[in-house]
Amino acid sequence: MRWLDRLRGRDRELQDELEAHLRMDVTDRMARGASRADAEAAAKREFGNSLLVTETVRDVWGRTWLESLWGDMRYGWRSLWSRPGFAAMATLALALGIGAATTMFSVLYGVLIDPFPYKDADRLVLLSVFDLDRSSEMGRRRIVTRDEAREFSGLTDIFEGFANSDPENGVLNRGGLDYPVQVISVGGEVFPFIGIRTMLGRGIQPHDAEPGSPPVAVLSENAWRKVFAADPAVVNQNIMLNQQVRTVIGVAPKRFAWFTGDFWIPGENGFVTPTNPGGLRYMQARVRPGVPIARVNAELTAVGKRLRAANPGQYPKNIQVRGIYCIDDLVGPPFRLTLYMLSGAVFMLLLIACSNVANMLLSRATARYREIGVRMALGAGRMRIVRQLLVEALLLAAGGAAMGSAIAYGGVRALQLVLPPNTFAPESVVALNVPVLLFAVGLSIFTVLLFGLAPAWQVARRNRVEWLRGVSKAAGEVSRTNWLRDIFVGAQVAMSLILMVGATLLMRSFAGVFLADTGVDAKSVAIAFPFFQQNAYSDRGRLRQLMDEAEIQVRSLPGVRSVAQATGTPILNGGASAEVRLVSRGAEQGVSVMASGDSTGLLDVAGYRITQGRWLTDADVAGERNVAVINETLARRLNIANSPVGAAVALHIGNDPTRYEIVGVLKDAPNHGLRLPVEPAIHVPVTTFPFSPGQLVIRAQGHANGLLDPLWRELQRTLPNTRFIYLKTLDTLLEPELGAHRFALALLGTFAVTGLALALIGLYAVMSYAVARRSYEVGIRMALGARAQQVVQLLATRGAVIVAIGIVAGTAGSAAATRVLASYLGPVSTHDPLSYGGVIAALALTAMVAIIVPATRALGIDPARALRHE
Amino acid sequence: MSTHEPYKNRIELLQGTLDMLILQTLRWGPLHGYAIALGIRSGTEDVLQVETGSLYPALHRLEKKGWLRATWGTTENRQRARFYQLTAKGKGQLAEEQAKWSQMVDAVAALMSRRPGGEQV
Repeated sequence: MRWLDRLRGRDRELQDELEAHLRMDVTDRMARGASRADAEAAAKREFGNSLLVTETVRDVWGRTWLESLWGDMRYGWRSLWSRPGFAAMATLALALGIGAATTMFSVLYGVLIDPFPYKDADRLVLLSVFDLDRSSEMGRRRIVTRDEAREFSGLTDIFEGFANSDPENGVLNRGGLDYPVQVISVGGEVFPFIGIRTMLGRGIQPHDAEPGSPPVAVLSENAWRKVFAADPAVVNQNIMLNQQVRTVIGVAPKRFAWFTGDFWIPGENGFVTPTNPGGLRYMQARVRPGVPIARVNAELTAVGKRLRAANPGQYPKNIQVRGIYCIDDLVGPPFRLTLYMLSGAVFMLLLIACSNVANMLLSRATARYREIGVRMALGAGRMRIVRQLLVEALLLAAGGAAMGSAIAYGGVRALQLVLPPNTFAPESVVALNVPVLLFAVGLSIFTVLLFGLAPAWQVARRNRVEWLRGVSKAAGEVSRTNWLRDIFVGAQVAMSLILMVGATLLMRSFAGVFLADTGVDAKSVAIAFPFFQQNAYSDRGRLRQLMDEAEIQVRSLPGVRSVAQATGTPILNGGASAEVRLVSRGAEQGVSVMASGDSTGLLDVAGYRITQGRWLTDADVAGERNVAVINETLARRLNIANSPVGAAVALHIGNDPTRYEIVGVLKDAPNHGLRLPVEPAIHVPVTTFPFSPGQLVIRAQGHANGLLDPLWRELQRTLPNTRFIYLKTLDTLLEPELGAHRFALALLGTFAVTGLALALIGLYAVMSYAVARRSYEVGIRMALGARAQQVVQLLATRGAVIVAIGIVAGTAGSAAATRVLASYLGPVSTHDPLSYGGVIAALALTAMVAIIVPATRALGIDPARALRHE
Repeated sequence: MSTHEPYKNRIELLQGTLDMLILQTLRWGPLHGYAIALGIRSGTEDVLQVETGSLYPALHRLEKKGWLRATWGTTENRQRARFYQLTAKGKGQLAEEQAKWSQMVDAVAALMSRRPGGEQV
């Protein structure tokens, strides 16, 4: 505050100057023979009023803008400080609104709105082929083949460019150690297409994908750190990837996570890689600006229909080809709606906070008419008063904004810690969203100014005489703003209710995931999936023998409770996509199912429960008997829920149907992830399954983590010629899903709690004010013998009525607003009475506290004092 | 003019005249406020006595206008005091004021010396 020191210094100098004048006068007079006392008295007399002189000189200097601002600020500070409760609550409300809204929106933005660092990511679509005849998730949608990709790449009218990618599990050998890695074969066009700039070296160029080009690879930032210790000299080093020597040409930046790769290698010659000759690939395309997605889908489907006409056997009858926006794949199709909804919720939170503060300022304004009247009577100009109010409002807004920014910063940091890796797009980065913070702060300042200046309107309207007369009149006049305050409170309650109901409904559906009966504790299950070298076991019998041997060896490991061979993975995935028909009704449309070839141990490993019949026996497996166990859902779909055991079904995997006899039914358990509904599933002996035995699933006696190392050693020994073995515990595989749900729960919980807190603050502040304003009336009533209960009742009734109206309006609003949630809620109804009841009860209870506590404070009013005071 | 009752004959200063008197007093060199007051008083043979309530605001006003420059110094009695001195701008202003003043004095004198009625000629 140097300008302040300078101002003070100038004052002091003036004092010195004037004193010097006096002293010299005294000296002269004494030199002329006067006594000191006489000289001093005379000099002072002649000097006149030194204070007046000082003031006049100061007037000559003029009051600087800063000086008067400083004065206003000091006054404003004192005025706010004189009611610390008001200042604290208003600041807290503003801070909560700004902080929560900014945090939420930052997460939304980072995770949902702009998660991809790729060029024009909002126009990227993944081309997908649909079989509309299939109703269930499985087998309905697939990515595209090489031939299809070639056809689609001709659609340059609607697409700007294309990117073909093929992710696969690979192995990096370094220093004699094998690391399981994700290797993505990409077309030479991919790097320029997504417009990524490498951190080191260069990206894959089109010429790298031409035949005969030297083999190269681009490294992910993550792999660079983990495997190469962030060595900047990694570029031009040779690495051993999938038993092939490749030269590292570059390192991708941190956020680049195209198909969660560790390495990107150029796809060879028209994108036929050795591991995926003519197979499926992910084809992404960038839609030209302004082309509607409906046209994109129509043209794609036309190509699909042409392909089917040329080759009817290979394509579904009811084919449809669509471009799916990347972001829709991440969140689900009604993505925009979700986004609008969540943004709406964020905005609502901010609105609640602002209406809160507006309310408090209006309340405070009424209390200030007297003060303003006095100041005007003492000669303060209108502009001066308005400026004073402005400065006070700004002080309040500044406090709220500073605290809100701190909350937003801390909130984003906290969420970054909670945000599970790879849950949403791996590319997503959550960072404090500055434009939104500015918007929130701006809106708050606007609100505070708008309502903080409310008394100023009155100042402008009335003249001084009226002010002088009118303290009591002012109070009457101001009661006109009461309806505005009541509406604000009611609206706050309603908005909080909508927010809380929405959040609670979603939380209930998310929580279902944690409460789902999975049959087995995912922590105790491990999955081992061996990848064999190319053509190592063309003889399937030999492979089966090896897997049987591995199963027996693993079973004898200490700590292993049970082990099985299975195509599917418990909870996550029911197996291969297939179709089942009842033999007795051959012509009927089949049911899409997940089919798994299992050994008998799976019953215990997966914790399945038999409801009818029996499970597969060792004799079934060893004897290659065509018997099957189905789940309840499949029994229902086949319409044989009453007597499934003994029914004969035909299982179509590929083109050759096999006849199976149903011997048992399993109780439904999640088999397509925790959130999606149970798919129809069929289990058959692994020996009768047309595909190679896929994986071993192991259930440990305790936590499966400790089993991973012995398992790895055992499998390396018993399964020769593996490229690598994918070995994970089931809970780590479920973690992304669980993490996402935990995160969503935390986020929604914060929404709900913040809404509730803001409603509480608002109600409390307004009620406190009402009580303070009516202390005179309460004093009279108590002096006349009113009982405590009557007084509280009197004060609480108005608040209770407003809250009740708010709750009714909010309930109606929730019923309308949550309709858009329906597709997310799964089994939870949008009218779930438990959620509504819980929220209404919580809000009503909170409101009651906010109303009753200030009301009981009125009981402390001393009637005599209250009466004297007025 | 040489009366010994200075208080009775004191004249209210004309607006702007004080500024000119201060500038005039300072033309021989820097002086502090007390000396300026004394200077004006003795220079007008006690007719004009400047009150501190007018003097200091005027000094600060002239300083603000840039006609005066103020520095802290010591008097012959080794008192610390604020000395004012004319700036170049102040000197120019003084010349201008003097010209205006003599014009006014002439004009006022011409009017005042004329006989009533004007029938003389």
